[in-house]
Amino acid sequence: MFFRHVVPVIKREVLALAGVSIGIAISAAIPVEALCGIPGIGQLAWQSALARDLPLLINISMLVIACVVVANSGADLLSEERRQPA
Amino acid sequence: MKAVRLAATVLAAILVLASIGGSFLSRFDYAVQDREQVNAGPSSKHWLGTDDLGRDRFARLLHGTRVSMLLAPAAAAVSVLLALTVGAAPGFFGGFSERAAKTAIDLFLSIPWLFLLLTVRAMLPLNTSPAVSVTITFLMLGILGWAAPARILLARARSMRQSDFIVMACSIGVSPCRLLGKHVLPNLHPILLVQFWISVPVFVLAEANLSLLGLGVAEPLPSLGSLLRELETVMSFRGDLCRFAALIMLILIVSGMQIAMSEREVS
Repeated sequence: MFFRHVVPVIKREVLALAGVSIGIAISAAIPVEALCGIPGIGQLAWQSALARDLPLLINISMLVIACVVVANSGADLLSEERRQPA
Repeated sequence: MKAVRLAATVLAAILVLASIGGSFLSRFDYAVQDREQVNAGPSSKHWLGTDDLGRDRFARLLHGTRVSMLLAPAAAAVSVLLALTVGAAPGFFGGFSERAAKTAIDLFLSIPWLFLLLTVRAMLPLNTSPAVSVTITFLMLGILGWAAPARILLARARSMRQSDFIVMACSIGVSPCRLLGKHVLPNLHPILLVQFWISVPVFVLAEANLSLLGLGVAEPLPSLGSLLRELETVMSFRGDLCRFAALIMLILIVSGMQIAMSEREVS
């Protein structure tokens, strides 16, 4: 019942939320990576901000924004696909 | 539930009073270094001990709370005012301005804000004075945080545009300025208050995030985030005392959310 009736109804909202959460999750990665010493995009951004390395920082931001845009468009695409047959 | 909210309000009020009266509660200045007693434990002289430069932790905690208490509501006010102009007005007038406002809100919501804050903060020169850096940090938070309240205000203003009393007011020839000031704004007022109270803890948390990364409030000015930063270094033996900063932040955030929730119920 849950998968047949509930999931199709809330699918669009859940997908839209998932698309937005990607951006929040990547933002949250900065303090986590910086404090736990995990080498990743977040730590690189932090180091470059501390070193005032603007070109690197702007490139990282562009990369992250590209990820977010792809995630948002993907979520839109999936929810559109779901809606079409109905 | 009512008791919980009352307790939250009382706790928040105590924090506000303690941070305002901080200079009376503690005999020490937040920046004065007592090199004789570095990393000292709690004593009758230093209530919470001293940090690795010998500064009184209690004074720093109070001053850090004051910085957050003063500037987070100010930033929230800025962002709610921005949301009102960018969200509510276009939502009420409709047409092209509404579409433009919607696009701008979606654009700002999709930007990973911490990256943006890091970038803007990294553009500041290294020799910025502490007072300027803290003002700029909170101003940035206020300027970047308007998108979420604006979306809610836009939806509300749009639904109000189609409501009966607005249509009637229009039909008897009320001027747009009077319509906005006398009829729309009082109806948006509860939502504005709720958004304000929701924004305050969010900004406190965001500032703590930035300061934790060393990119928020500059030394020697303390803030809740930079006090938490001391937890990172295992060197300071009395690191556990920094947990007071975490505790105060928790109280601030929970109280802010509770006040926001009670405001929402009243509205």
